[in-house]
Amino acid sequence: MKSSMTGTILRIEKISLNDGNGMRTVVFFKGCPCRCAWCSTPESQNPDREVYFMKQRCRLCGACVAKCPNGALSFSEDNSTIKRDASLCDNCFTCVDVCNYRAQNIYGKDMTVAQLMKEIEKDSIFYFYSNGGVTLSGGDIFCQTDFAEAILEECEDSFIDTCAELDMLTSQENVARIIPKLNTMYIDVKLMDDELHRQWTGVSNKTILENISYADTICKKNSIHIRLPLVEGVNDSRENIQATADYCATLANCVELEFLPYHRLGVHTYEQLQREYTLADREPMTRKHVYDKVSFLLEQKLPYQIRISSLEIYDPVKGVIPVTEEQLTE
Amino acid sequence: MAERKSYMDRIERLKKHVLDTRPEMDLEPAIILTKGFQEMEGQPNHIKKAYAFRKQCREKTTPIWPDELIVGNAGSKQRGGLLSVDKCWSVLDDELDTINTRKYDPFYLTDEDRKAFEEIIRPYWAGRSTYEQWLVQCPEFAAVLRDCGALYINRKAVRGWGETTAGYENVIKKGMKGIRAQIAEVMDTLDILKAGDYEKITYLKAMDMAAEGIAELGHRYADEARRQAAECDCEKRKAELLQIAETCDWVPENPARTFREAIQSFYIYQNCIFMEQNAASYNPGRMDQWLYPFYKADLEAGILTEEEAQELLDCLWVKFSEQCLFQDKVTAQFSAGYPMFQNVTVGGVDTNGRNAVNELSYMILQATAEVQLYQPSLSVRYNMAQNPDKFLKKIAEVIKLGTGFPAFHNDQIGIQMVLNKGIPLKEAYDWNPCGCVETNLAGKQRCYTAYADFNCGSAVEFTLLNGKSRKYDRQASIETGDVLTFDTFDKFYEATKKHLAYMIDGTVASSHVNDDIGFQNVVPALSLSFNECIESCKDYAWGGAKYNLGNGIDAIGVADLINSLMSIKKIVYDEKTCSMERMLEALEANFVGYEDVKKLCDMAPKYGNDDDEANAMTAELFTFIADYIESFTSKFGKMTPGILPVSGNTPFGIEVGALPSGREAWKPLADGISPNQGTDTEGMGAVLKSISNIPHGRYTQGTLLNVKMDTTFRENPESTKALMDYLKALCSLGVFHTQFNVVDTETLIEAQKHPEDYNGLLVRVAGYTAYFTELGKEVQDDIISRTNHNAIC
Repeated sequence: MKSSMTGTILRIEKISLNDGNGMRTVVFFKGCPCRCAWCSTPESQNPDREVYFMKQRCRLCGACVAKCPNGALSFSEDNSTIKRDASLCDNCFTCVDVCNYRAQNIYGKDMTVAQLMKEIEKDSIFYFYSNGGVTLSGGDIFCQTDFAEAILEECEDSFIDTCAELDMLTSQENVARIIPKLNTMYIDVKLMDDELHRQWTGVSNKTILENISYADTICKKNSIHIRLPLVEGVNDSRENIQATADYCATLANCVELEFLPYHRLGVHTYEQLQREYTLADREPMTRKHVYDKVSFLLEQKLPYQIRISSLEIYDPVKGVIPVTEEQLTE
Repeated sequence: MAERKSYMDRIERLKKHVLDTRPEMDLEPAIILTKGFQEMEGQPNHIKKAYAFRKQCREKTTPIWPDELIVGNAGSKQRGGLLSVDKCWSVLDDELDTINTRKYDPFYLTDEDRKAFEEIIRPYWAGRSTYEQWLVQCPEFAAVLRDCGALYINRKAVRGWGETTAGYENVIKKGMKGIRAQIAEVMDTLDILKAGDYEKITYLKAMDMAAEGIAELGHRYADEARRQAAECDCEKRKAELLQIAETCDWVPENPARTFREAIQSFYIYQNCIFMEQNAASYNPGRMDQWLYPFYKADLEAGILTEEEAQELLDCLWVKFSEQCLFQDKVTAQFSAGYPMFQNVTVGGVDTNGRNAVNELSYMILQATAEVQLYQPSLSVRYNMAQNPDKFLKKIAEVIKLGTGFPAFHNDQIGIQMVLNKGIPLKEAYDWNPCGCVETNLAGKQRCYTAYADFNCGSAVEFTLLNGKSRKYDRQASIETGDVLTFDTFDKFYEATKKHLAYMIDGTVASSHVNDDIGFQNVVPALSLSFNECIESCKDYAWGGAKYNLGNGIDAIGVADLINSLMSIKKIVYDEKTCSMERMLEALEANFVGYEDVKKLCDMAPKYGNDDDEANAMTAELFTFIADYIESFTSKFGKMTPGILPVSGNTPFGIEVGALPSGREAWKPLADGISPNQGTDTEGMGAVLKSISNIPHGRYTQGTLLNVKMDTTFRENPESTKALMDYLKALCSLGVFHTQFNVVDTETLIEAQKHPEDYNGLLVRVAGYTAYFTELGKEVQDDIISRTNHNAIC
């Protein structure tokens, strides 16, 4: 039974305006094959449910330390917080059960297709008025292709608009199952150079690029949006930006290339997961920084729109879109 | 940014004058009234009242402040608080030493006024006011509930009628001359030899005296304007003053001929009814409709430009923020911030049921956008079927300015509410929001729209404690049995309903007593704008209006009730993760030492998150409450339910111990139909879906939803469209009302620390907007803690 199939969902965000057309329900899947150094949702990487710790709620009562069956928890040396030894923790969640202050928590929740569809359908009236719908995000839905496919089929059946945010590291067979069911997709192209891609994301981009090109042949018309999260010293070279733009131009259905300025809003999550954040020394970028780096593309008569974090700067029909200093500094 | 309009300098000066003035007690009208009553000893009550009112019109000071184009006030001071001595003189007597410094809405009382109070007012009124009668006559069981914080039933005994929409159109179109002619016509049909006619004759005489006074007051303002003009060196101001004189010589005595005269006529009358009785919520109502013919004619005649019209509206808007509501210290907690609740509305449909939006609808929204003061309470009736998107867009844009205005009303549900009061559809089309979110009809409807409040948190506490109040350790409600013997959730649930019913019983009983005492509180100046009051020779107080309804009874703590019941059901009965004994211990200890129970309570399903079970319970319970309230009829009609807290959720919270919802003892309850602070984790959409389970159309005195969004909301280029979409979804869901706070939390915290730097900071409290720095600390904290939605940003 497809409706009883289970997936692991990180969270569901409702009435989001930033993830596709109109008001959307964004479903974050757990699990991602990439380990991008700048990832702002590290809690989505692990495909399984996992514990996290909210230091500010902790009253240091020690219940979790005392009850942990694996001895994974201990007070820090200065007794100011609780530490977890990841090598000992087997995510049994005893600490979550015994914590009265909800400092120990779980990222991820198992849901059936039926349960998730019920959540999605709750906001149908908002989709109706805003031309919104569902956006599957993550993590990457290709870590749970069967589940994602079942959700997309259900949405199609109820005429709910579908969109996904994708990394595209999967088998060609999976691409063939998912892509034709999406009305819109946002695909990350992080680095064109394979060596650097491996260095910064832990995986090769070969399959990813092949999959995107293949997706272009089976997707709905004009449904591809390419995103490049721009990080200083990682992928902001003129060569990489040009190569990405050129690649996008080979995709018949690519309507947009969007640059996302690097931000550090996810840093505290690394802390909660007691993981190291390796980009701590990078400064966040503003639109202005990005504009200076990418504006050389504006004169190239590219066949798709160019945006910086939703701000349109170029349109193939209208040409260069003037932007104000104010818009760029936001 | 549009170019700054030339008149904005004047508006800024007018605003500064108001903002720099501290609220003071203004006893001038009360002193004149007292003397008037003394001069009329032996006459019927209504003659005394009308005579004294006319005396007020003849003797009050008639201040005209610099830069004003629209003039008038209800006393002698710019930000004065009035005292209705005939109704409740002793309210001030109880607070003579503390009024200057009290926590909520302090008023400065001058030594001179205090002396007059002690020498003139107290000696005459002691033993004569209706408030004193109420304190004696309040039914005992209702008084016990009141004293245990389960009911707030004193509100109407401590101020005048209010909560109505006068027949302003009658005043403007007929003038006092026309109204006096109408009175004379009815008088001609009466015969003192006929039984019953004597009372009618004296009543019409009273009304006529009031009309005479109102007309004379216009001339007195004209005199003052001429006096100032004679002394004025500035030619421009001199001309303005002479125009004021010309206007006030004509209105309100005669029918208004121009847009300016219509506004001036309205405003003098508005102050007259405040002067007659200190009361909140005399609602101008549908100004875009009743001013429109004058506006259109003036434009066509070429005697008014759009910009001049906007300036006059803006001037009026500043005037609306002058008068300050004086209430006793307890009532002030329930509606803090001196608000007069003058609710102006635009939009909706006409009497054919078609789009009524016109140019003035936009200009009135613009006046609020430009003036940004706490009055008038600006509302919109948005009719999704009839009103254009352009109008909705303007609404969204003004909401985004962050003044808390306009309050958004779903027109189709408003019409449904009026129909449910038993009023025909054709008249229901003409409804207007009243006070906060109540429904009203101009010049036709009489009732207290928000007569009293009952505390839903208390109902839960009474169920747990077999009818006892935790705070007062006293039997407040009926005994429904030891909660430990309830072996099913149904028994708990039914017991809670019994307490809700008992509290409603107390409210209804007290309402009947107040209705009876209220026959003495005659208001001829108000009544003269109600056609049926003239025709039937009956005062508003006696049921002279066309539609007389049972008073409005408001539930406070909706979310606390649902969340507490959901917690008990889940934790104690369904999942049995905590026994009832332990739950009782935890609540008694305010969860201290019972943190595990607190966690269970916090994690139980919460109202506001579109949870199926909570939704079903909401629908069932609020259908029950509406059914129960409507099962009672007063002298005037079926009792009417509503859910608007004003700021009563804070003082009611102080009366209730810890609740199974996880709310700690003495903390504020949830406001209106909004979720408990910080528990609506699923966002703004889920809130709407949840509250749509309340049968809004049946809560004919309105339902109130507060949504707070952070300032980043304003910056998003998509947010206007998103807000429009959200509001359309709201309408489709059958939700009645919402209002937005778009001030960011940081600003509020700063304002709390440095109030002197945030004089003009406006926040939406609940159904009205107030200066944040003038609110008590608990109310401030409550506003700060409301969930900060940033989903649409």
